[in-house]
Amino acid sequence: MPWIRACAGGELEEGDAVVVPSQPPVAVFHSDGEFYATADTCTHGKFSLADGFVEEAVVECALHSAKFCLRTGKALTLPATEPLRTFPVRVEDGAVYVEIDDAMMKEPVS
Amino acid sequence: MSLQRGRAFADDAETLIDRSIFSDPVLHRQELGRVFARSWLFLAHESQFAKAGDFFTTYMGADPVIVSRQRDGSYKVVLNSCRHRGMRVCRYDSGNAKAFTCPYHGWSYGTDGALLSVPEEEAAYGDGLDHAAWGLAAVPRVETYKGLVFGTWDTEIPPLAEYLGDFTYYLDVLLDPDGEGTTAAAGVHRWRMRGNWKLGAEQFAGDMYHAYSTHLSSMIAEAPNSKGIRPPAEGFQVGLPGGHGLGGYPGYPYWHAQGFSAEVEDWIGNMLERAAEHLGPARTTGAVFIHGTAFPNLSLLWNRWTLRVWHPKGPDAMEVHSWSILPKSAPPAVRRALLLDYQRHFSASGTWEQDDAEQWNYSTNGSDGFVTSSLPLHYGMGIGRGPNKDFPEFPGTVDTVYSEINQRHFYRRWSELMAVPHPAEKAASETPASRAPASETPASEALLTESAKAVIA
Repeated sequence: MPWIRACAGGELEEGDAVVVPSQPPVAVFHSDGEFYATADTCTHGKFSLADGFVEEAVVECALHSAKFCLRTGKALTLPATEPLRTFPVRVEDGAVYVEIDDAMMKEPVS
Repeated sequence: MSLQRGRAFADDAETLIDRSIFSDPVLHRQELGRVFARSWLFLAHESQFAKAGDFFTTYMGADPVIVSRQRDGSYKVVLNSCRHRGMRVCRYDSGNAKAFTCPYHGWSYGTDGALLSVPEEEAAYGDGLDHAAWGLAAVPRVETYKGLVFGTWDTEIPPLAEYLGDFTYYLDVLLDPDGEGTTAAAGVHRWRMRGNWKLGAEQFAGDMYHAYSTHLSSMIAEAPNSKGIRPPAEGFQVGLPGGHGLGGYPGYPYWHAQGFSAEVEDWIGNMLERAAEHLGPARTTGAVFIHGTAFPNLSLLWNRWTLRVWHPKGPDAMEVHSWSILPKSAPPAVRRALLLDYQRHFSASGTWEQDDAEQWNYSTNGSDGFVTSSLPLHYGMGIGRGPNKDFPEFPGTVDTVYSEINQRHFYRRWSELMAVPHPAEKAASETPASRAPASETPASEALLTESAKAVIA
């Protein structure tokens, strides 16, 4: 499965996230000094979790306050019940990479 | 004496005001469409929006709106009312948001008003909900003037700068004294009080006459700080086309009479010298502007570094939003002194503010009386007096300081607007039930869209 570059590590401030334009999109978060990757779309309201609020490895969706564990993808609060898929992340030469499925690379990824 | 619909004046000479304009609920409803939906309305100061998603909630007439900065730096103004059950989608005064989610059923909208997400959409609506048709209604025109953000629902009135006209000559003294602009002090004061909004707007437009009565006790209390410096006996009122007006005095060192420290006094004196180079002496060192109103409901107090909006809350109450506007060039100690000076006089707890609130409460209260309301009020001060020629550079019609010329300009403009029904009044008077079979969903949806179009038109 391909590893693709999400961003330079320094670009992503603590509490921020970036979207990898795969199909479906993946969000890479920076929280407590660690990088995490999950599906970007909230399993409840279909909204980008990269636009949510990040604290202590938990993301809260900006629309309906569903919370997910960034480590496991588990839905921590209602109204979400379905977990997020998580993806492996590695940092190499100052850049953050995420491993996604071949089938997710529907479009060229920069 | 009964009110001719659309006329504030009870006589042809335009010196008497029919006081039902301060209390009649029917006129109030008409005013929301004919005056407020047809004017440029002040919304916020640009310094309140540092980054994308920063928002401020306010009103346009009685309509609650959200003003927010978009990613491209522009401003978007949308109605703060969910399209599903009408709940406010944003219940905060200001903040930063990625989206606004209605707390009632959870419909979510982007800061640009687009409908983003509806909970359980597939189970609730299938594919039958047209997101493009059910976003928050957006104000069609938003423009800025030197840091001030305005919006209007009217697609036909002139652009903002033209609408403000010669009022900008005077407005620039507050907004652009030295070429460096202004910043709004953090926190917009909001309070409600009894009284019709027009009593605030007209008083700030042209009423210096009330000061030595209404504010006498405040003046006496402040006298020990004034070092014997008082305003000159003669001053001016300036009435402008479009209903705007302002007043003040020939230049005098008012800033030495406020109890400021020497540092603050020096800074104001030096700033006025810089302003004279930037804007010319006539409106800087040559004059002290005190009060003014840009029609309909934006008012300023130049010498207190503040501006405010009078939002109508029914015919007999208003909500004031009040800003402290400070020159960017002012050092922190000066900013703090000017902010405290504004707060002492004209915040919700300001002494001068409370003086005025008492007058507007009982002026409006009396308008409800049956016999009381049949007697018109005297607005004839200065009628028949020649123009004041002491200020040849001032644009507008200039009169002496004790004149109600500006109030008459204000109500002339109000009457012009009130004489023409707003197109949406017709749409509102015909109920959906009277025009469409209740059971046919597509017909009533089409009707709602038509009515929404009429509001925006």
